[in-house]
Amino acid sequence: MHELKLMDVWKRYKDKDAVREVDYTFTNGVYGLLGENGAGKTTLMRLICSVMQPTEGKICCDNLEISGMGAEYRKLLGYLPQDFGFYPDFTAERFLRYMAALKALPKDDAEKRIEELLTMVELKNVRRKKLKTFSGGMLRRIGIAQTLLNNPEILVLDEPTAGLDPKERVRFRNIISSLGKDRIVLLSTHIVSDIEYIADRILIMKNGELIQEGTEAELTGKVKGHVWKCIVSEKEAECLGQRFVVSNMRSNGENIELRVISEKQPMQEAELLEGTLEDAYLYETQSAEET
Amino acid sequence: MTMGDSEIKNLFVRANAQVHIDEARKQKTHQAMMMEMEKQEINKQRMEMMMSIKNILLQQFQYMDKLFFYIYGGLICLGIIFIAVLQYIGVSQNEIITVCMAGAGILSITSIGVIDKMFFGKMAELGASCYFNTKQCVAAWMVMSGMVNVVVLFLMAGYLNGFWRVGLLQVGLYILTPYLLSGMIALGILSMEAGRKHSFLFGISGVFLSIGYGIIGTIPRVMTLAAMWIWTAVFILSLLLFVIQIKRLFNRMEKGDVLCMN
Repeated sequence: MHELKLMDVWKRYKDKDAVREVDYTFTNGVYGLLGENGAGKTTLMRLICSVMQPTEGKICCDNLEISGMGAEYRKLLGYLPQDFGFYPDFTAERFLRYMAALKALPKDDAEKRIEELLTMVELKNVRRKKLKTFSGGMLRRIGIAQTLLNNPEILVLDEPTAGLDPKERVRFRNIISSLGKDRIVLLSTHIVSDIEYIADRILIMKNGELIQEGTEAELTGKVKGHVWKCIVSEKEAECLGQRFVVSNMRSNGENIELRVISEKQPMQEAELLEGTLEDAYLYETQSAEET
Repeated sequence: MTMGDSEIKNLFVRANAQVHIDEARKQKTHQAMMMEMEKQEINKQRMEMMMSIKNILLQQFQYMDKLFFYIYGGLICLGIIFIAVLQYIGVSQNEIITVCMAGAGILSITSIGVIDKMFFGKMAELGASCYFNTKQCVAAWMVMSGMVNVVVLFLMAGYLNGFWRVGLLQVGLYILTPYLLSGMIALGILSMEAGRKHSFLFGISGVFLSIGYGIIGTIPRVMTLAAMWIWTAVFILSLLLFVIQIKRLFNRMEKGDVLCMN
């Protein structure tokens, strides 16, 4: 079991702080990273994967700084970047062989692993097709396969389910869930339900800071008593939408049913609802005056 | 008088009896030690499963896209043919030195341009997280292409010295100065922000630098012994800047600035 410790980690660019004051310790399990675009999720993942160096602070694996560990650390790593690159004229099989070479896997082991992974991601029948002919979902799957080539003990996946169809997403979620038993898996996504099902702990980022952390139950517990159902007219819906955070809106004949997140009752007829992770996420990422 | 084994043993037993051992802490330490040993065993197994650097490079070369290597090799061959044709047609000493200067510059830009095509772009971020990472790939290619370039430059120098009776020191300065100058500019392009259109910049800088070397070649007395001190000064400056640019590129790669597209 490895322990990945982030100690007061900052990443500064010329004009902004992409990651601020992140302190967190990862042990075996699945961690879901939530946050809006530009919250710093990708930068944080790059820092964890040693693709980037923190401006301040330290990232340690088993008490050793990862920048000093070098290849020793990278051999434990499996990384799927958000916008992962590939050589368009490579076949799926050649791409995986190339990646296996970069991951220093001996040829025989690599061949066996490639065979297993192509079956797992259901790309065996297109193994000799060029990557430029692949759809977005297929590219994502080949990307996922390359992360698992070296059987990593620290798996970092940036938006792994983007472009996957619902069936693929469910399959992928199950794979991640089983992988998380004996390794660190960190995944970021915009699809809250992906994290809801598989993440042991959920981390919420905003403006580069880790603003909330906990299990699904802990996070949804924080929104208890703040989620309301309001059935209103179209005009009233517009008015409520401007004053409160609305997590869902459904037209119901003449009226509109709103799911409002607010610490105080938005209107007299408002009915209290059970909070979901999506509500909790919206609650945590909105500013105080909005909620 | 020396102590017997039994006396030493008794000494240790007595000393141990004076030390209070916390059973819980002892168990905890034992457990931590076992875990560490297990981890080290797994690490050892992983290391045994890893390939050597030589094999990694060989396999990487086997699977990588070799188009740009062919272009690089093709350019070297074309350069040799071009010089042979010029020799056949009949040119002056200054003209052939100028052609060799431009050739050295193009060679330098091309070998650095290959880095951009092969290891940078969208593959760079993914590669940076691998056991043999982008930085190491770039370093390996620089060493490899550097060795090929040195051979080509030696051939050029031998040709100019043998056929055209140009002094070896002069030849060295005439060829190495544009090689370093062009390389320095190419490294600057490579160190620029990721996602820029580097290929265009490499191409355009190659053209402009060749024109520049052509103009230098037409300056009267520029290839004479009297101008050697200027060549020496420019050579030293180029060498210095070339080293600084290499350092800067690797620093930027270390920080990840040139590896990530957004």
